[in-house]
Amino acid sequence: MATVTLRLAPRPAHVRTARLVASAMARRGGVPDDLLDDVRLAVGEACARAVRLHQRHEMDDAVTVELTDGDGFTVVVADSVASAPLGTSTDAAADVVSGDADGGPTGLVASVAGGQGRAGTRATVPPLPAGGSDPSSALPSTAGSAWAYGTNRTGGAGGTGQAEERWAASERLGLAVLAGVVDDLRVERGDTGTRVRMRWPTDG
Amino acid sequence: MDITLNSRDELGYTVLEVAGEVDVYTAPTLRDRITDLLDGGHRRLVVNLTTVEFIDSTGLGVLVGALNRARELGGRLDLVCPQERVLKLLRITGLDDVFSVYRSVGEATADSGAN
Repeated sequence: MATVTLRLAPRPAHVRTARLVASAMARRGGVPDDLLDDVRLAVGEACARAVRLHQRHEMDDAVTVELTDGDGFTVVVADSVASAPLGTSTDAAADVVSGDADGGPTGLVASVAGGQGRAGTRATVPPLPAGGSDPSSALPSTAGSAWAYGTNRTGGAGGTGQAEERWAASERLGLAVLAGVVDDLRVERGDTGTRVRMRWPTDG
Repeated sequence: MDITLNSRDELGYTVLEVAGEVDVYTAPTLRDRITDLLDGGHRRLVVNLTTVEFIDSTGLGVLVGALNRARELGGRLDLVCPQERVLKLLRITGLDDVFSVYRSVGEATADSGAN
């Protein structure tokens, strides 16, 4: 077991550094080649999420990334934002993933966690929609106002509302990607922040 | 900067070539460029992701926002993406149903009568 810990100042530019380190460690640690892109993408998503969260809360605390090889390759990305308001899509999804993922039709990430669990089986096409086969239903607001662009001038929503919508949309997309590429994913909310834990198998 | 953007007009379309990495750091650059194109009257956009080395959900979010903006303006925004890695990302997020995705710029610009 060897652990490398990164402490990233919450700047978007540093997310790439975390991706590069994760890729390098995963390769050396024996993660199969066909999973390396998933590692890079997932670690990037988790770090981007944490960095955005810190920036949104104007926190300058570091985002920590713990990479461990031995018995698989595990990456834990932790933010320090304790109390995101309840009812946001992030919280709902995080609660479901960390809870008893029984596959209930409660949401996007729930359906993925319920469908794959920690069995280690890879789904070629992740079962995104809960109990359905129409992938667009997994993201109900895909074509709707939640994706409103910054320069949208048609609605009554002000700049703040649009920023909120963009935030919610990026959270949903990021979690969808994480759930789609990581079979063994846990999102744990705690008093000191959220920990996104991802694990991949290694050869030998 | 780890992203390179070049645009050109081709057969009534504006083709935006995206190269490099599109992530939380570089996505604003992409968004600004597309906004400039739309504001400049370019309403039929083809975003070519063929040589994109990496794209994450932030990049996808910019493309979705741009698509909605283009539609509001009566235009369109299509993607060119032959890479399985990126196609997989579009499937995971359900966005393959939202965008028209082509294998080549030629296919995208040849499909002008379809919509």
